[in-house]
Amino acid sequence: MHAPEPQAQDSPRTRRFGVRIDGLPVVLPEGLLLEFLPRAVVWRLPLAPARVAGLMQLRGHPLPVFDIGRTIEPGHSHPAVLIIGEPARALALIVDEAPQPVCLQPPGPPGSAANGDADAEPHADAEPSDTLLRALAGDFICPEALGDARRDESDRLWWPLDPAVLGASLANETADV
Amino acid sequence: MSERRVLLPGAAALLALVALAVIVFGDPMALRWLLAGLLAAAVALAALAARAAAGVRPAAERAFEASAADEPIFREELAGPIEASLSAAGLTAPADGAMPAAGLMQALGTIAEVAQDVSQISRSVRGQSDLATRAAAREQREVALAARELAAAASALLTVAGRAREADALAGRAVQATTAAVDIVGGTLDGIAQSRRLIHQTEKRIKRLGERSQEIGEVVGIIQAIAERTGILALNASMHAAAAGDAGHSFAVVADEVKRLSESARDSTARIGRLVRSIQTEAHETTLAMNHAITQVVEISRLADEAGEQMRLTQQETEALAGEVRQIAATSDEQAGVSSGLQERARVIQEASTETTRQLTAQNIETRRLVECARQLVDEVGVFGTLPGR
Repeated sequence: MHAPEPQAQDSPRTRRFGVRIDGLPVVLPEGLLLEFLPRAVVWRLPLAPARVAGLMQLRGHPLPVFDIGRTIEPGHSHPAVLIIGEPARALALIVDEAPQPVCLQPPGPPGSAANGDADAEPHADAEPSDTLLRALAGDFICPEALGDARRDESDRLWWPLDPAVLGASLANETADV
Repeated sequence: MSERRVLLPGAAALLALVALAVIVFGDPMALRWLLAGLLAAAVALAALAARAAAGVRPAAERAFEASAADEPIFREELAGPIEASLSAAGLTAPADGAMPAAGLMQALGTIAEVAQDVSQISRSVRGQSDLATRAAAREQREVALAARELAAAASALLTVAGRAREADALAGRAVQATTAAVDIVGGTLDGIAQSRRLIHQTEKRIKRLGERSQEIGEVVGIIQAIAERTGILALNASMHAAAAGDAGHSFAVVADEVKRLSESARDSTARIGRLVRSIQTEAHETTLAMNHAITQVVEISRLADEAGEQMRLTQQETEALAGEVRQIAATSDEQAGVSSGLQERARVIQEASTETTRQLTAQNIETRRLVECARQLVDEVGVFGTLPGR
């Protein structure tokens, strides 16, 4: 898995892709190889850890599929999956919908409302959806994989996600089980 | 007084009374019988009066003169005529030929009694004649009234016949109109049946249209799935181009264009899908409306069939009515003819009644004269002082 690029290296108009994972909008690093499968065939594994939805194959390469929000229902074997990275070492995540291009606004000073700092206290006039999204980000399985929340050109909040950190966390959690 | 002398006038008077009674009870021909009885009584009275006047009075005058002169001629000249008169009067002379004054007086007394009977019968006949005259006048009035009523009845029957012919003509036109209405209803039923077939065929076509639209919907679904897959493919291509950095910029442009095309196709197919669903909904609603229309047409057809049946019954009833009206017209014409005959007969009866009244009036005048003559006869005979009670 590729290491995430530093946030400081993002250009203001860089085209990146974002996706919702268990309701939380996250934006993926630039230059990362992505592939979306709307109806992936996932085989469930007996005695698998809770976050592991099953196993799939991508052009001959077996891939474990992780269900971060444990949203997949028993018997539902065709979820939407986002493949992150090269097929041989990729990370497969169950996502809510297809990825979409995201143009993030330039980052502002730390703690400003413009960059939508995830750690900042919400304003009284903040959108209810923002409050809900911040709550989702706080409950994320791997908060260390999330960067500071940023807004796109449509003023929607996005949390940069580091797939390497997330993958390592999931690997550790799976190994612990 | 001899019963033979009063038998004839008595019988005649009885005949007149019987005729008068029959008149009172309403037989018109009895008036002729009354007139005949009165004429017979008058003839009998005239005969009695003439016989008494022709035979008795000259003999009595001569006997009176001879007695007054006390001449022998009395026996020779008067004996024969008096005896002949008495004999003619029905009085038989003594066989020895002696004619005493007592016999003459007896004859005169008999004559006086006859004259008195004549006077009495004449008065009775006059009374009967008056009754007959009044009865004849009443009969004339009744006959005139009956003639007028018969004329009114004949006129009414002719009016009834005319109205019946008009009703017959109206009934004939009603039969023609009903026949035309039956034909129209028959044509309407044929039209309804044809409309029903057309609606049924249209319903089938709309069902087929719905099935075709469903097939179109399935094809649209396939196209939509292809568009979605194309969109996913464009998305993945775009993500790969983005991962390639600047080297994938051109490819990213192509991928974006493909994505837009897929989105356009998806929007178009979504719109087509909405249109197809709208067509299916409208086809379903149209099919329901057609089924309702077919139900209504069936109901209308049933009602029209019943109306046609009722019209056929009306036609039959109207034809029967027309036949009855024609029968009424014929019967009214026949009765009008009979009434005309009765009217003619009433006119003849009225003329006869008028003639009878005229005859009775003349008879009444003659009877009055007869009564007067009888009274004069009684007065003349009374000079001999032979009448009872004089």
